[in-house]
Amino acid sequence: MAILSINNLTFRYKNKFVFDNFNLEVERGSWVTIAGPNGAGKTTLVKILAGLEKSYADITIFNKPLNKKNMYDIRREIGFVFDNPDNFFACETVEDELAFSLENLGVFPNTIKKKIKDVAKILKLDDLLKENPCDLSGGEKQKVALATALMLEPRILVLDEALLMIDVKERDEILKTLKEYNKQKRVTILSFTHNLEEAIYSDRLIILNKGVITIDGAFPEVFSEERVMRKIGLEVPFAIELSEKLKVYNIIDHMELDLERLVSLIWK
Amino acid sequence: MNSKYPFFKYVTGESKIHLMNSKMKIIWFLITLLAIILINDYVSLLLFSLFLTFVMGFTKIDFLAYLSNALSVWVMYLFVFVIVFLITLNINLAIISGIKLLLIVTLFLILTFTTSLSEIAWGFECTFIKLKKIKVPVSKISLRIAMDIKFIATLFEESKSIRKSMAYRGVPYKKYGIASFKRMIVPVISISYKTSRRMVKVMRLRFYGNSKRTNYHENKVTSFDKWLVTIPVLLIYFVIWLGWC
Repeated sequence: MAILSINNLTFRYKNKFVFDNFNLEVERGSWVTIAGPNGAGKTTLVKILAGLEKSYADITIFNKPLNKKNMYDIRREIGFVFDNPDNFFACETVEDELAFSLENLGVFPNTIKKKIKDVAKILKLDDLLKENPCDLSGGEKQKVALATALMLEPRILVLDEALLMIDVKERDEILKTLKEYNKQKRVTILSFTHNLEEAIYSDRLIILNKGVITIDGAFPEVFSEERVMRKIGLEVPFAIELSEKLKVYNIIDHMELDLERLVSLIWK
Repeated sequence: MNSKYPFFKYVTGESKIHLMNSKMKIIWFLITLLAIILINDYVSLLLFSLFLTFVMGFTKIDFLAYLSNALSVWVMYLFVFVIVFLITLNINLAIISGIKLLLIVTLFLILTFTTSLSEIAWGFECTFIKLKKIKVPVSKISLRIAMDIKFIATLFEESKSIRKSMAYRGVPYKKYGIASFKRMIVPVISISYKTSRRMVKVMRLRFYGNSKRTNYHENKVTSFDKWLVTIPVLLIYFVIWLGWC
């Protein structure tokens, strides 16, 4: 069942069409990665979903049309993490930042305290709670932004280049945590990125180029269209590329997304 | 400006002033502000200066942070001094006005160094909550006030980064001066406009304005809070009594 559906989306920016008759459906509990180069329309789509940009479209989220009347109810079940977390900090300590949305929603302080403890543990933010989020490193800021979204226990988590500034090791850990979160709580994840390595835990990969869906398929089969990806300027992850070649020579029999597992497969 | 303690920016801490109940802190702030605006003699100024120094001590924030930040806007004090003198031709009144502005800036520094944005907004909201009955949008106004205070900090930070980026491009780095001001005014206005629009969006996205809002940091009213609010009231009585005598 679709938790989110966009029909006939048309959006213009300074007389230039970003989306013209764009359609998308996302299943409940799935992890969908929408990848594309700069200018593909990823951030615009996120802003439209957040109600920050007006568009002509028939958008339904949780079976409710996305309009002014339903906006508040819909928003409280979606966690947004934007590419530039600095722009979305409203408080002067990480702890306040995590509490802010829940305070506004009228959640009791004791419940907020417990949630902060849990989320800080998941994302290893315990030592940063008293720090000013604006004074943190890029990666730490993105973790705080992600934690802020998780505090809401959203039914949909929208990530807009949300792991861009996090180093590779930590990014992989966060992706694994998000996958568990996605499986256990059936949270739908909608991840917008230009880095295909962030798509390794996705169920579905959509390649967006100039507002048009170029490729849409299950992961990792979709990488058979590697050439198209390269043509629009997307870098195919090394593990995928190597797997493809090893498959040709019958060294392995399936695509391996995790580099470490791929190494052990070759070693065997 | 002190780089460790930027102008009007919250400094984390566990001091008695930091842990004050938000509503009591705003009431204290408003009473003290009103008193400073109303006083008009050197004795009262001295009394309130001593009182603010006493409060600064309780914040456990470096005294130099207050001093350097308060003195960084010396042009404003000079401006007020000159304007009042030109209008009234009374040198005493001009000096008093300049000092009053210095005390007001210090008072704002105490509030902003020890209170986070959300607490300021919450404190104002709790103080004026009764006005909601006559349909005054208290939440919106409180947030507006808190944003404006935070906005001053943003303006200072932005102007600093603009000056730096100009220096990187080879524009001579002048701390003060008309030429430097002229170069900065357009980017500062443009960035400020963008920042204010962004903040409104952020607040909307983060559900601000809900009437059922709670406060995570709801500190209980302590006897210290009560005393701190009482002292400026007593000082006002004392000043009035002095005037009668």
